[in-house]
Amino acid sequence: MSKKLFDKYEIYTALKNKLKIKFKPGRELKGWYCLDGIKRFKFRIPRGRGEISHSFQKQIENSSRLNNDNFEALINCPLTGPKYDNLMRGLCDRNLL
Amino acid sequence: MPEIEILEELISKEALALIYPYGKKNLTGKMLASKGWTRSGSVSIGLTKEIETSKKIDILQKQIDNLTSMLTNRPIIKNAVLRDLNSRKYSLKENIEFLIEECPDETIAQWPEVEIFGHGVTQPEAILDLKNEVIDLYEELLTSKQKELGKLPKMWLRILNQVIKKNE
Repeated sequence: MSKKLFDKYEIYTALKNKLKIKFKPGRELKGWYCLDGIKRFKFRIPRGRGEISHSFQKQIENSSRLNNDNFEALINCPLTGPKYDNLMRGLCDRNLL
Repeated sequence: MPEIEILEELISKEALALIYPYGKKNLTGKMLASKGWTRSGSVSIGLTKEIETSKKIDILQKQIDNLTSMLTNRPIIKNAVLRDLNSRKYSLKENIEFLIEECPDETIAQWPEVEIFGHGVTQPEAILDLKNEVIDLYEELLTSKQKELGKLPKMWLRILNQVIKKNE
């Protein structure tokens, strides 16, 4: 419960810029993570700004296939888009994606 | 006063502050006697133990507070079943089992197998949102080109085809 909660907009910009996700406008933002031109899985994130709820962040973390530390790294910058793609390629190789 | 000097060496600053709230010159035999202590080594031992116990109690109190906070904020997770999609266009061929996660600030209704969830302040809101998500995902997958879908979205479509029926 003590983990860091991010700002909704921070999550949106990180996913949009690093993972090149094209979010569809709506009540909430939804978009597919594509690797090698194939839709792999979907992200759903809340609109607006302000701290995200703990349960919603957990759902996004699950969608991203990252643990808490790597998810923080993805939002806070050390984990770049290409590095994330490589992690996902690893999952593809293990038949998990 | 050699006894006092020995005392100073033996006990910590906190302990000294307790004995000398107004400075060590004001320490009198009466003050020590009032606490049941004498001007001897037993004073320091008694005080040190008292301080150690007090510190331990503080640590335990903090741990209890942390645990209480963790337990209060911990989500309550339970199973539930969807029997209807709240749609004229689609109905269910079979029930969908899903999870409800009740947190203090929000409720999440999730169907982990197809990686969708609904959320809301209350349980009914979250369930209704989940129903909308099921239909959204189904329609999106139906309209997507099969060759564009990865292994997981294809599996989700197979699962959704098994449970969802389009009404005539």
